[in-house]
Amino acid sequence: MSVSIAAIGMDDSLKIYASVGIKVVIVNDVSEVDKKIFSLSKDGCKIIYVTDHIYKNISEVLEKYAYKAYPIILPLPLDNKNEGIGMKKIEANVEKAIGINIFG
Amino acid sequence: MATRLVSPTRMELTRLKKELATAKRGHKLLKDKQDEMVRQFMDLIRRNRELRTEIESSLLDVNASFEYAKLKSNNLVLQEAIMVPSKDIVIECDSKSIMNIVVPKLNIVDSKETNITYSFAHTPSELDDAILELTSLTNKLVELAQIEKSCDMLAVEIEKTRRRVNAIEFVLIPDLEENIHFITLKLEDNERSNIIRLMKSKEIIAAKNGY
Repeated sequence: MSVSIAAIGMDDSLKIYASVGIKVVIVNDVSEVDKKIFSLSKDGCKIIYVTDHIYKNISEVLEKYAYKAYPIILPLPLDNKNEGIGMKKIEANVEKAIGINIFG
Repeated sequence: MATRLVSPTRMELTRLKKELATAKRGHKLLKDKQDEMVRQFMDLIRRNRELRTEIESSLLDVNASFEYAKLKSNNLVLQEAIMVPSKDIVIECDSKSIMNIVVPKLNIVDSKETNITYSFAHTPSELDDAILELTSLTNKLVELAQIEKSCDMLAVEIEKTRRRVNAIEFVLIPDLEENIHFITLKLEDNERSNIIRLMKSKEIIAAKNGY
């Protein structure tokens, strides 16, 4: 089964990702992200990269897909603004799993 | 306490002893499961951290190159240049089981070479750099997605298992042991009362009959 990858962000600097076959979705407001993720997931999109800014504002949406294997929603500094959300997520996972952050 | 609710009978004692044996076996199994999940989690999280550090710094380079390209060239020309992908990512998605947790398994099928699909005459070289760097990152991006999701799911499951292990170790097993102790004491007490009653009865009968 062939599937696609998508990237969701809020400005057009994301368009570069279209050059490697990643579907770029640009939203004007964080509230649109839920619908976009739903429609992307319905279209068979299995990996969705979102910008750090969007990721920290969509906790309810993430909760919805947390227990499913797909789609995989990941924070990445796609728009040149690295807020360190990804690293914090790794540290939170380590703390959740072993009770102490060994990378901190 | 649960102690008050149990009926002090031999049948209940046998049932509780069986339950205690099962709880101890379950505790050992869950503890082993937790240890194995933590072992696998540690391998994955290290790789996850490596990949993320690498990808985040590369993406910043890609974005910086693209910003330069945007400054040097017309926006429309750039949009036209990146309209046709230089590489199509085709991935096969499957799932695998780690200690009974279904995690995603992704495989990149397409490993065709990158074909720059625009003319070099009107586009800046920074755009080529950005696209080539991004193309070299695609495999890692997919691997990161797979590993990070596996880590998320494992972390949640490890936390759940740890709670279960603790509940069995510190609540269920002590409660069962306390109940078993209570029933044993109560049965011994009943037995003693019975013996005393018999001894008393014997004494009364003996006194009556003048022995």
